[in-house]
Amino acid sequence: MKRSMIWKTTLREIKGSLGRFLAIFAIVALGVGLFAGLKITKADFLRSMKSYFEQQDFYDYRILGTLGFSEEQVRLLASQRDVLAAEGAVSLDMYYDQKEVQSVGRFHSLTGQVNRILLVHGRMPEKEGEILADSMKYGPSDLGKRITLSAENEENALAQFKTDTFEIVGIIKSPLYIQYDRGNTSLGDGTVEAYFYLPVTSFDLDYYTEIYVKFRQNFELYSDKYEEFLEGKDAEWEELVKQAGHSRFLELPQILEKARKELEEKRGEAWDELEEARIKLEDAKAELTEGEKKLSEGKEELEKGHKDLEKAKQELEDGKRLIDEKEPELEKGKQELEEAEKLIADSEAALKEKEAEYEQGKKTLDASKMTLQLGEMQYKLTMEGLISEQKTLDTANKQLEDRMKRVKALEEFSEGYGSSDSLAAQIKEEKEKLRKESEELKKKTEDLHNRYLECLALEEQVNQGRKDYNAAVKQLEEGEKALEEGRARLLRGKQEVLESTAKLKQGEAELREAKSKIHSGEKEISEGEKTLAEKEKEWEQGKTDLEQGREEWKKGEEEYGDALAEFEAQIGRAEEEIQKKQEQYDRGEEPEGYLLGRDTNIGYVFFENDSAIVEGIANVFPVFFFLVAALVCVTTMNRMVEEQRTQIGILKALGYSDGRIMFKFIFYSGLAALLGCVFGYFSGTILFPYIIWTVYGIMYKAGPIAFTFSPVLFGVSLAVSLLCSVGTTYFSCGRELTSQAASLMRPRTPKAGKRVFLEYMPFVWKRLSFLRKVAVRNIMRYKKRLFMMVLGIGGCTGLLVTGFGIKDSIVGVAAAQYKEVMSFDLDIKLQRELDDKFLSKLNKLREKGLEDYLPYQENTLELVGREGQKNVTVITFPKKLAEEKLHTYLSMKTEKGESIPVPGPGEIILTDKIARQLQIKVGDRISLRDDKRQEKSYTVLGIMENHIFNYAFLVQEECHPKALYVKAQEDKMRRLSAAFLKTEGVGNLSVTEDVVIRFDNMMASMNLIVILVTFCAAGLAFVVLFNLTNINITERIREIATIKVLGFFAGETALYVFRENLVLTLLGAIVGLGMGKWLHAFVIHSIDFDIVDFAVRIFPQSYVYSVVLTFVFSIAVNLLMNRKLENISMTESLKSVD
Amino acid sequence: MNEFVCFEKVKKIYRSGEVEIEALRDVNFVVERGEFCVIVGASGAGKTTILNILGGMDTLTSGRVLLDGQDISHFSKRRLTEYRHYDVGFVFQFYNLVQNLTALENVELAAQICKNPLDAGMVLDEVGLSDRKANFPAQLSGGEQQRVAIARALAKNPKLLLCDEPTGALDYQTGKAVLKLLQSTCRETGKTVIVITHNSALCAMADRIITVKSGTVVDMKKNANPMDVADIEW
Repeated sequence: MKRSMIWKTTLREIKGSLGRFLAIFAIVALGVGLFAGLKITKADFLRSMKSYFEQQDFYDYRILGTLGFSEEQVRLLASQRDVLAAEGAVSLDMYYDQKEVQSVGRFHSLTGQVNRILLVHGRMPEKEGEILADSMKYGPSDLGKRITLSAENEENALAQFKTDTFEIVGIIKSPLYIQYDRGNTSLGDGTVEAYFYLPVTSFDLDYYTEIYVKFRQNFELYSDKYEEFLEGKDAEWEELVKQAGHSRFLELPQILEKARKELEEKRGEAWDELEEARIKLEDAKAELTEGEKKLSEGKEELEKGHKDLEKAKQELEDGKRLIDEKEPELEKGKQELEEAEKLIADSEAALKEKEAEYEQGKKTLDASKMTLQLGEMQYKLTMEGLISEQKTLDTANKQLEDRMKRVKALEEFSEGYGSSDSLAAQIKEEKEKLRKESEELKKKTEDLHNRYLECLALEEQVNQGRKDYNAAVKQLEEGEKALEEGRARLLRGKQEVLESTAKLKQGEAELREAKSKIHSGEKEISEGEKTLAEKEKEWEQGKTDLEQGREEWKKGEEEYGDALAEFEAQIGRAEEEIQKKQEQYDRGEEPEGYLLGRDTNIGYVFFENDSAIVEGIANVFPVFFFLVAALVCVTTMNRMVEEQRTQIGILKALGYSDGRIMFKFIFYSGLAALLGCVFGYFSGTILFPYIIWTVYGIMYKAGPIAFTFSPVLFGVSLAVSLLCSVGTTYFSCGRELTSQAASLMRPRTPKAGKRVFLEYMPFVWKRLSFLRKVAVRNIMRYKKRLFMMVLGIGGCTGLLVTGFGIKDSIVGVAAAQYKEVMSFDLDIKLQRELDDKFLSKLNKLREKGLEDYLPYQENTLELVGREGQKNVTVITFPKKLAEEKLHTYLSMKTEKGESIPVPGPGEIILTDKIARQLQIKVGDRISLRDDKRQEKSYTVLGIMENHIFNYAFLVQEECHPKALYVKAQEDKMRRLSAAFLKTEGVGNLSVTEDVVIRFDNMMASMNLIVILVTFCAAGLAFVVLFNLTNINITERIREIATIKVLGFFAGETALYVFRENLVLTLLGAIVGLGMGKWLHAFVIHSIDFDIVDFAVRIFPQSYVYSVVLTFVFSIAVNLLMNRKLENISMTESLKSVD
Repeated sequence: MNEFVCFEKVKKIYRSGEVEIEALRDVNFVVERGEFCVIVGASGAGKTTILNILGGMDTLTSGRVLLDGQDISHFSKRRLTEYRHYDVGFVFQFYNLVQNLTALENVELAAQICKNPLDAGMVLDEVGLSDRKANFPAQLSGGEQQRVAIARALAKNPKLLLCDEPTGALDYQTGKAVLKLLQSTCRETGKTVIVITHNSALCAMADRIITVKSGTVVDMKKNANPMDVADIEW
């Protein structure tokens, strides 16, 4: 009954003061969550890794032998006590090419019982030529891509594989590689880039390179028990390894025999190949010579062609000239011809005229002939008539005489004769007539005589006519002759004209022809020229082809030489190897065997360190949180007890025992703490390991996180939270309970006001406004609260500073490394040692943006320091170049910013992280050990500030650079890197800018931690501020009410109360900045990533952000509390103090 | 004109959940300027409610309250604060001094927020605490503390001085001294002083006596011959 009363009042109490209850709950949850979460992380990590190892059957012993092992030895080891499984495996380091980049990979055989791999994507290999790839370097997008074993690998090494090109069919995780580091190798730059797994049948190897042994054991990882267990086995197993070695040794003659046979075979094969190559080379040579001959012939032909063309041109020119000459001639001929034609026409006309004339003449002549003949005839007739007339006349005369005699009759007759005289008158007239006739006869005789005379004249005339006629005939004849001649001449002329016309026509035709010939000739020439030009081009091409061919041939010859040398060397080496082994065998020298435990697995070793990292933080953060939690509980419970003073007094007076009275308070705080603890424990132990595991996923590829419940941890958490709550409650109550009931019922004497130290500094005090003075006094009044406030707020600011600082340290690290410590744009790994040939290529690349370069040699060696040893990347620079420009590539500064000079012989510069880890100081002697365990010692010249990876820098006269740091001209980096990728002999190229980006991306998951820390900080700030302000207000309700009654405005009242908070926030923030700086340094030193040395640095803006955020939290709490303040009733001021 | 304080049909009902409590019903009274008025009544009669309303700490449900002609009954929260700020001086039963401030500072606390304050030191001189100015409340006796409280109220130079059981926490002699101070203040500065008490013996010293009972004024009378405090005994 009584108990239930207590219950009731307690529950009512909780309801009534939920803020106070939640404050305790929250701070306990926060503290426990952080503590348990961080504490459990290591256990969770170990458990997760253990379950991963168990699942994948991680080995316990790895056994190596110089001669390898056969099934025989595997069986021997498998039969030993405690052995769960022993399995032979092959692992080989090879160069491989992918996307023109050459890297070194470790190729493992798939195992079934030990070190089983986990398939992440894709499928297992089903046939030869299929391979599984490293999940750290490959993703699902790489499935189906191909990798090729480089031709660079030694023949013997390549022969260990059945094929040399593989398709990635699966992406895997191997328990041998839980961490990013893939180990070291003697190949290349000494770093293994990725691992691969393939079925053992894909190897062309008749022995195992190693044997993995797994025991029947279930010890915790890294536990002493496991160590002890192995220690117990070690001696026995060393012996077993020897035995195995011996058993292998006995197989040696067989092996050697086989090796010899193989070598012979290989030698034959290689010889054949070489011979083939040689023949090919010779063929090529012959082809080259042939080509050369053809080329020179071609040259001659070309020249002839040129000459011909020239000649043709000349001829064409001549022809043209001739045409030019002939054309006017022809023209003249034409003219002449025309003239002649005219002449002929003229003469023809003349001839025709003449002919007409002649015809006329002839006609005239004919007429004249006729006239002549007529005349002759006339003459004759006339003559005859004359004669006859004479005769007649004579007769008539006689007759007339007769007639005279008969006169009358003859006259009549003569008359009748002559003119048919009329008959009638004839007789009459006859007498007249006869007289007349006599007269007439006389007249006639006279007439006749006249006529005779006339006829004689006529005869003369006819004769003359004949003479004329004859002359005319003669003349005509002459004219005819001339005409004939003219005609002939004309004919001839015509003939001639005809002939010359024909000639002219011919000439014209000829000219035309010639012209067209010239035209076509010109065309031909231009064509000829074109053809010739083409031929010339062809010839040029032929020439360059030939030159190229020659170069190729030369290269081929060189390669052949190299191959020959290589072959000889390899055969020599192989023979030597066999010989050595034979000798070893003959000497009875057993093979060396190595028994290696898990502690030689890099991932296994690193994980132990890395899983412990968080534990370091776990020891600081929670202590701080618990301190704050205790303070919160003390003040809260103190206040609560004080508030209930009177009640306690009454209960006491009523006769309740101290215990029972106390029970209420203890129950109250205990319940809050219990709930807080349970809530905090479970959320913390899930949230923290999960987030940190996720962050670690950057470096570790293992299974999922396994959560553990640790009863001990829970117990401790509970105990601490109860101690914080119940303990402090007991303490608070105890003090009150010892008082008398009566005094408890009296109002407690208020805590006296006190002068604060500031008042003794009038110059400060006087300057403060009145209300500020009040604030200062109030702040100083409750030291416990001041301390808690400053611690809480400081913690909040500190956490924020740490959170932001972690980001600053991480985000800037790649940039700092590659801008400040190492400054180059490209890091180039060569396939061969840097030689003059490549140097000349480099000089050519200057046009493509190469600014400068620094060759270096890179090895991975073991650095042996004072405290243990560690692998380190040793970079050796050639002396001459290093002295000239090493400082422009490396900052070479100590952490304090002092310069380190270029190391001389026997001197070494180490980077700070590894020096710190191995506790090496400047001036120490350290040594570098190679994989054959040969050591060289150096004096440490300086310890250089560096952030990513561990380096040792050497400068030596003798240096075999196989890599280059390259600086590009401004803005030409991408162009240059592309040019380098195309350059022969470049093996691997990394662009600094890309590295920085990749690194930053990788580190981006660290943001999770920052967010986590920020949330913790906010939580802390809220709990502390809320709780304290709450207490402050409830405690001063009367005062606040009074102030309100006095007429303070709402703002003034709020400021009267919250000014304190703001001042305390400022104080806390200032303290927090210091705390944050320290905490950040602590955390950064704890986050030991081995390859990364985070700069312990916080950017100024991070401080600003932290303070601003703290104030934001503080103001937010104040605003929240302001409502409570406003709700305070002024009537409170009238109440009595209780 | 002389009605400095005037309550007209003032009603106050407190509600808490379902329950309604009528604290005041139809309260009517007046106090004239410069009077020393005592409001007397038993516990729960409604004295404090009257004080709260008059002091601007609480609102009324209905009715009217006038102070120097100002109707304060419908003042906003802000106006009420101003009213407290400038017009009223308050003296509490438990002094309500700020523990963290010295006597002088406590007076200054009030003086600082006023338009027309009196000099804090002078007021303290007047209440007879010249040599205790630098002391913290905890270092003062009850009477001294109350005198500081009175000084604090006076320093504001208010129109009205309200005193809630000023002698309630004090012993007889000290109480007398405090009352004497109040009375002489009233007389000397002409300030209206209203004292709330359950001690009817104090009625003798008042100019006006208002008797409250069960939430209403049952009697209001003027005392023509107020006695000196020293002559009163209880």
